[in-house]
Amino acid sequence: MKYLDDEQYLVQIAQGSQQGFAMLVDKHKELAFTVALRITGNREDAEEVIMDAFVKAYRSLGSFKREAKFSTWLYRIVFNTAISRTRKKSLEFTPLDDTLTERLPDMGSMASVNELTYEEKEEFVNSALQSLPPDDALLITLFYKESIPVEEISQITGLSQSNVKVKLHRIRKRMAVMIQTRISKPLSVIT
Amino acid sequence: MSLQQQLDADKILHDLFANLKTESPSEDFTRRLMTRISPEFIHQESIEPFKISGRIWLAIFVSVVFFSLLFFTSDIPAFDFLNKYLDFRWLADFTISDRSALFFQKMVSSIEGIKLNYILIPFMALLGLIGIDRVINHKAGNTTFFTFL
Repeated sequence: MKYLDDEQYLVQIAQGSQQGFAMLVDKHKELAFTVALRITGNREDAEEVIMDAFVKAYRSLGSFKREAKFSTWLYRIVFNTAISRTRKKSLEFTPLDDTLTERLPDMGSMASVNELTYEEKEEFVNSALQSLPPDDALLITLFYKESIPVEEISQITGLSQSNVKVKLHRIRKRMAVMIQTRISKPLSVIT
Repeated sequence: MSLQQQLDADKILHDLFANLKTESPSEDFTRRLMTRISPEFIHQESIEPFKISGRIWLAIFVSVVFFSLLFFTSDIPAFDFLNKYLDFRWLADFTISDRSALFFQKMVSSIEGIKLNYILIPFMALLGLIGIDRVINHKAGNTTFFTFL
């Protein structure tokens, strides 16, 4: 389905259109759900989080100052609601095992990841995301899956841009090690 | 990790994540959400009934007390004239118990001795208004009239 620009929906909502808000929800619910799911870790909580977040967003539309994109503002609300739900006061990144990340992976063997089937790749990414701390899993999903630029990730998570870059770099290294480990073992042994 | 290794890892990760299925909430999510907020749409379209919240009542009460004190303790001649006709010491005679009578007597005697210079009145009034404004708009985290503060 092709959606309009967010601004057009906001104008419709300001004129009292429920349909405008419903379209805005449809447009953003999947990424909002992904953000909430990465933080909460389960679908039921994630759905409750985005339900609350959309209600909050609706009630706060009057205070949306357009300093950031509407989507960034919305995902920030989702992120904060999810953090509150999980009783986390701030981002807590699990320190990485330096000896693990310092082992440089062989990119030649990593490249053979392309030989994996669609299902195997999906299964690998899902298990890799589960092994990462929730906040790291969120960062890497936003960056690689949703192609959200660092600046927007920074606005959504409240981390500085340089901090996001450092985190992404470390997660990238960790993922590279995971990929190498995975490639060197038959999938059936790992799963 | 060299730059080339990073670029390679970047490319591989982009490729891997492209295969990741998009997560979706339940199919009726939008319908349930709209059901939840529909009353607010209807409410916005209708004229809100006149209603004074507890916060407003508190502000009114504080205002009455504040301006009464200002009135009875000021040294403006016109107020002195009115004071003669509006002596509030009668309160002490209409109390339910001895304890409350004592309270009012103490209150009256403590206020009686106070005389405010009328120059201070505008400043006290301003402080009072700011205080009331803060009480009313506390939840919103901002003030209506005194945004510069």
